[in-house]
Amino acid sequence: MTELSDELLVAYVDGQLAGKQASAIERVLAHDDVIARRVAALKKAHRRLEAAFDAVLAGEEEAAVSHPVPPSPGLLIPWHTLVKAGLAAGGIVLAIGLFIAGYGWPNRSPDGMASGADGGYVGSVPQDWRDEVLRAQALLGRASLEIGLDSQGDHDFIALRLGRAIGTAFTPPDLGEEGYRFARAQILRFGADPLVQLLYLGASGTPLALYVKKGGADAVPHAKRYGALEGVAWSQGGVAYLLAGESDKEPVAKLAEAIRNRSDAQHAAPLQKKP
Amino acid sequence: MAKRKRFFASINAAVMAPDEMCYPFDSRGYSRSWPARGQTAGNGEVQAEDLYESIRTGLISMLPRLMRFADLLAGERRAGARLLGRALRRMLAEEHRYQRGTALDCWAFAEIYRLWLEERRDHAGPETSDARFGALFCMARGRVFDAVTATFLKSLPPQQRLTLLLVLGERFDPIDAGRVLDVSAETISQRLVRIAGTFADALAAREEREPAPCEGSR
Repeated sequence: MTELSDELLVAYVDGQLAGKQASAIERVLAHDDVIARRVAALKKAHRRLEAAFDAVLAGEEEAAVSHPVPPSPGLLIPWHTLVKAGLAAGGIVLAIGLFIAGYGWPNRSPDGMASGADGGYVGSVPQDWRDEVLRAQALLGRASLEIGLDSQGDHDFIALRLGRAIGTAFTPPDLGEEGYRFARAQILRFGADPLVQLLYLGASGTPLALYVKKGGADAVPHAKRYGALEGVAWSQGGVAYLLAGESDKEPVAKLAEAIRNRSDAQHAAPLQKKP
Repeated sequence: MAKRKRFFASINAAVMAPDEMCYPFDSRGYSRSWPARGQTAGNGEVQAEDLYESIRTGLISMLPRLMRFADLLAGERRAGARLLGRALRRMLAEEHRYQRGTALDCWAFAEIYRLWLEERRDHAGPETSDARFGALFCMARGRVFDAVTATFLKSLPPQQRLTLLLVLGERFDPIDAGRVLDVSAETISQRLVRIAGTFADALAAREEREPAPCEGSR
């Protein structure tokens, strides 16, 4: 009879042994009934324990999905949020009280008064956060929210949605070799045209963005600085690209070149439309 | 059960609009939006989503797994739900202690375990009855109740029970399981060998009972 410790056998049952070690155990099992019975018993023990844990999880899942309930005030709403909401409600009640008592409605804020004369005015000077976010919001369309965060790991789905948006087969370039990992994609709009935004993260620093839009004659890469952002724009196969990041000119240009090289193959196959 | 539904609803309501309420985990209870351990990148970093989602969303997506962990730790559902509720409140209040880019599930399990240890130090709860512990395994319809395994798991100290859960149920490697339970990977491996060996002996020594479906247990 061969002597094999439970430690080794449990590791075998767990699939933690390397190929050679596992093969050696299997050879022993083939001619040693005692060890074979022990392994069978350990496997059975594992299976039953796993099944028991799965049963508990299945119960928790059923409990969680059964009868979705309308939301009620949650215990987990942070206290400071409740305090803010309370203060806001108190302020409104006080304002209404003052109004009823004849003190009139509280004056508008200086911001409101400044824009009161011209409600539609959106100037660039002085520039404040409102201008910036409104410009950013203008890029959002319904399609922007159709690729949820939970779908970002599904590259095939992402490629399909992006390809449909820009009307040609398109796969987000893999920049892993360059030290950037794909983070997420969304479909923006520029006017009525879809505009794809792909975001990548390097080991540090702000995200690197690749914008992709249909149209435009082929054009070689052209670098341009946009404030703190370095951008490289080019067109290829009827698709316009802009790569931008807070970086120096040379790294962005190299990344653009890498994307161009990887995009060549993509343009050969146009996207087939659904019947 | 009604309290339990309210508990889940209150957590969902804290972060989601009513029309966005959905089932955020896949068939194995792993988050669709928060990577399970096996989905981490090769360098140990979690995928990109975690950089954009709040810890609250991640915790919600892991609720069934967290609930299972708390239930098996506390030994019964009601105590497990209370323990998880307290642990979630503390995790959300002290969100800054979670280090972005590390596995959220590992951190959350460790937080639940730590809270349980702290509370147990102050006040050891009463022994859980066999029926209450066994009910943990009878929640899902159509599942076969394995009384032998349930009895064996109940006989184990909570730390050993969790060792099995983390390695066999959650597929953690001994290093991560050790992080959760604040012991070395060697201790985890030794526990696993000892417990698996004991259970295998017990199974071999006794004639197994005929499994019976869980009827009317919900």
